[in-house]
Amino acid sequence: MQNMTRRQWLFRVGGAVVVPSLLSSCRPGISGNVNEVGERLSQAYVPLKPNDCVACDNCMPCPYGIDIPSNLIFADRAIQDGYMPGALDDEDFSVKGKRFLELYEDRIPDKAQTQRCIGCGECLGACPVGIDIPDQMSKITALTDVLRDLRCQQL
Amino acid sequence: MVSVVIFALITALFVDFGMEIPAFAAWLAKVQFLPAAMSFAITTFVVWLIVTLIFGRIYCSTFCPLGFFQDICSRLPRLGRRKPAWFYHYSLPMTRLRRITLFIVVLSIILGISAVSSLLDPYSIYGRFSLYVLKPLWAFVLNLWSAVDSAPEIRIALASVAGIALALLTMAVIGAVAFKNGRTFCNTVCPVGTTLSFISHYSIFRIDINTDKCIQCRKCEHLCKASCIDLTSHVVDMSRCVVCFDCLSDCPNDAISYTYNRHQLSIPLMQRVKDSVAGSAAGMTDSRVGVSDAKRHPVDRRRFLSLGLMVAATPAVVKASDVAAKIDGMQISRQHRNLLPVTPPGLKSRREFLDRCTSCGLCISRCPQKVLKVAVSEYGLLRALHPVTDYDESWCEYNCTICSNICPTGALHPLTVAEKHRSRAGLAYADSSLCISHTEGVKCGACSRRCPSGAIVMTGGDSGQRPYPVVDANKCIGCGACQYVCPSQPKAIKVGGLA
Repeated sequence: MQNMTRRQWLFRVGGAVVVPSLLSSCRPGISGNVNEVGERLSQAYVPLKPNDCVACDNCMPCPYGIDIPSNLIFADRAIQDGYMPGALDDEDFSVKGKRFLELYEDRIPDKAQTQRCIGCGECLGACPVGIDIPDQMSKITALTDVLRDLRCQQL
Repeated sequence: MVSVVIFALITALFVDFGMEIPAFAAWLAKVQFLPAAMSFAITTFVVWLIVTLIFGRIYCSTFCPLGFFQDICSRLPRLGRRKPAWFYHYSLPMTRLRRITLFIVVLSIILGISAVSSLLDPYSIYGRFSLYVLKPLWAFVLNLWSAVDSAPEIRIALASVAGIALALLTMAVIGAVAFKNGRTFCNTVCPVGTTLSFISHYSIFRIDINTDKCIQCRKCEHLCKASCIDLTSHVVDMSRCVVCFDCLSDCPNDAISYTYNRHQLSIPLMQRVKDSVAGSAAGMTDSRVGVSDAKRHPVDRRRFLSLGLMVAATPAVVKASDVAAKIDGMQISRQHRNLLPVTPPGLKSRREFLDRCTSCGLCISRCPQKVLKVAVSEYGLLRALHPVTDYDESWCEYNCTICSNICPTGALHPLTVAEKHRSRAGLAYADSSLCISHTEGVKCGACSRRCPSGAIVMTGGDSGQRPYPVVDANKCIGCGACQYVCPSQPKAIKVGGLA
């Protein structure tokens, strides 16, 4: 009792709360290189180019529920209206990115967003304009991944 | 004035008006009394005790968001030109009810039943209200505006029925009681109010009535929302006074002052003797000296009943919605049925998280991915309204540490990004028989591609079969990205919480 600091004493008083937590605070460690994973996001990102989707809906329905034309047209609109983020080291990347992500999440329900694309290729032959849809989907996903990552670090 | 700013900031913190909120606001959540006590933030705790010892219950009048909400409600009937037909009266302290409630709350915290403390903690009550009711309302107003402005619509995210019902019910009862009787909640069931009252009873600065100046107009007694001014004996019960200073400014003769120098009672002592002898002296129609409280004050019993109803009705609401949730639960995959619900990241242990969380909902409102939602029966009925992740709707962003850093109670411990990458909220379990590579023969691998820590490897592709996911338990942190993107129904890969 004599050698106890005040904090230790408080912890003993609150023992019923704290002791179980101390007992079970041992968690298995997690291996894997942290930095390597963090870099993967930005490496996958390539600035998007206009894809000239005509919204003919030939690629639909997507078996995994992605609204392909909406996603493509949204990207085209973003380029047209000037809030499509450019290269990662652009000055206005975060400003444009914030607007892009806000609008993207507002306009396209999460179940219809591109990250659900599994690249099955059902839509590949259907496009009359010849868009490589799975590739475009993965590019939009890479962009939103970077933006979401940025968002949680800014908050 | 300070209280208005603090109230606005805390509300903004929860509601997230879509504007920049100063970092100061998050600090306000951390200095709230019960969260500070729960997280063993001894400095904050002691500072509040000392402040209370010197100045009285400043916390209740300025820092407590629920206290300010009650002030708004009690102001409402006094806003119009017509004065309300009723005014406040002095009432005897309900010491036994207060102490029993506080005892139950402390006991339940020690035993780890956080339902009681989260139901009665003023900060949590207000947090839940602003998250479940104010936030959707605000989104609705913004949407109405956007019809004019042609701005994009905000999707209104509603919490569970139980959460909204509970938040509305508690706020309606507290608001109604405040509308009629002022700060009754603070002086009957609020555990923080009771704790502080033990100390504020002996506070150095006090409200003092100068009996030489007092003209017995009873204006102050009728104005006191805490019902703590006993003008018959000219005593202000500092254990209940929330130092709002309403009485100071309204006294026509400046007889009331806030001072460390207690006024010498000269006349009232004689008056008191006279009163107790004569029962009701001339001009004092409602002298309360020596009268037991329950018999002469039906109002008190009514107050007690309404508060009792509030406490009694809430478990019923939670229970009803629990049945509804169970019916939903039937549709979960059989393989994954026994998985535990996944907590937000940053726990030391599940047990400690469940015990310390006061269900204020701050993490839920601040989550940028909107992956945190209100638990109904996931952790059991007694832990309803704690935050739980919903990986079918969203996933936990790999580099995000907001919830663990904003938690005011210490249920979630603050993480750095590097620590987050190494702390595990859950573990993914893959069921290859449900994987679409098996059921539909499609080459998928979405989970493996989306996994931020590279824990999922597609294996077994050589024997004519499509590759299926295998989870490396040493790398998985339970972020739920795999479960979110898994295209099979029911999900072939699910994240389970850690015991």
